[in-house]
Amino acid sequence: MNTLAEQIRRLADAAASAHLEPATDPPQRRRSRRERFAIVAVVSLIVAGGIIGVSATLTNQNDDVASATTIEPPADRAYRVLEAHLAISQNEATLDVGSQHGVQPGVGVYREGLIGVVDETQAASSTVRLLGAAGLEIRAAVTYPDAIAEDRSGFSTIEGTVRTTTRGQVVFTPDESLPNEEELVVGEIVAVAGGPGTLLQGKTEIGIIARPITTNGSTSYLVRLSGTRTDGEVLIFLREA
Amino acid sequence: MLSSTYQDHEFEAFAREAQSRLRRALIGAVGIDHVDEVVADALEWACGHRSELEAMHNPMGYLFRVAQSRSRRRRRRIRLLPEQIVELPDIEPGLVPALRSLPKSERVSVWLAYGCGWTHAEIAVALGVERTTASTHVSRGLAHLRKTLGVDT
Repeated sequence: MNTLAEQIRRLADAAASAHLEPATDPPQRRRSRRERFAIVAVVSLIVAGGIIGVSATLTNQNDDVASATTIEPPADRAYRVLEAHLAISQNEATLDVGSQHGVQPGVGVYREGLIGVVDETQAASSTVRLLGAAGLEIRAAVTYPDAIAEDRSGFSTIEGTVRTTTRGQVVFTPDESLPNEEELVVGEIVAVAGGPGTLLQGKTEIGIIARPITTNGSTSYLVRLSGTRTDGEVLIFLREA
Repeated sequence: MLSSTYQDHEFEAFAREAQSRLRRALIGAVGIDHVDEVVADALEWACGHRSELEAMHNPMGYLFRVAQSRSRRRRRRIRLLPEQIVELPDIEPGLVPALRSLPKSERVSVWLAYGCGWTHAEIAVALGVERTTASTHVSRGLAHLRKTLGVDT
């Protein structure tokens, strides 16, 4: 057997290289919102337009959550779902669909959650402003549980604005103060409205609130995004004329 | 120490290195189940405090403290390894439980010193204590482990 010091080093090697397996057994009780998310791949640095942002990648581990975050357009309007490929380089994100497919600036781009908004369109391609790049601003609402009880059946909603800072952080500023900051940890952001032609309605979860930030006496909340920022297939909802 | 002409690409390189070093180091402090979350919090903080980090001799140690302070939940029991790893060759079967039973300051000090190769001065910054105190934590922790496991080396 090796020395104790050598064994601790080997133990640290094993721990550092280990990846957590997702839970395979279904939950026996309704899990708290905090428990529903596990961060499996955490930090990626994004350089977008010379701005560095830090984002976390959240992965749902339970089927019930995955189905709950399925994106569905509002029933009272007609939408066409467009599948596209998003390619992300250091400085820009590009879709392989454009105006000839009906894509307009302002349309939301989704993967597991909202990951960006179409900025400019050409005939067969579009550039996308990812959440994390400065300047994006959407209306959103945070939901929070009414009670700390195990069975959290009631959730309330407060609307506010999600914007990105020049440092690439995503921040939620509520229209009115939130009643219980501790509960914000388990809150969700639900996008409710966007720019021209945007569909951001429909329970689209884009992240969880990480922590409050107080500036000049007003409190905003840092948002940890859901959704990945790698190349891949995305969904776009196009409103029918 | 980061360069004084520290640009975006330098910060990106620093953050990438910090992510991997901090993750390894923080497993000993917060356990494997929550380590990614606290590393993310520390790097979010780093992104917003680049000029402060730039002036530090040991930014990694300071980020370790930031990560620990951002770890909100009090955890009495932590896991150092995922459940699918039940046994490792050439490692005393009782080492993991023995490490977990140490006082936190000793467990973290021993983990950083022998598991991560940090110097006692670096450990002192990470724990916010004097270097001599960090050395004491390391030596006491190792002594406790030897006694618990009944080994001499």
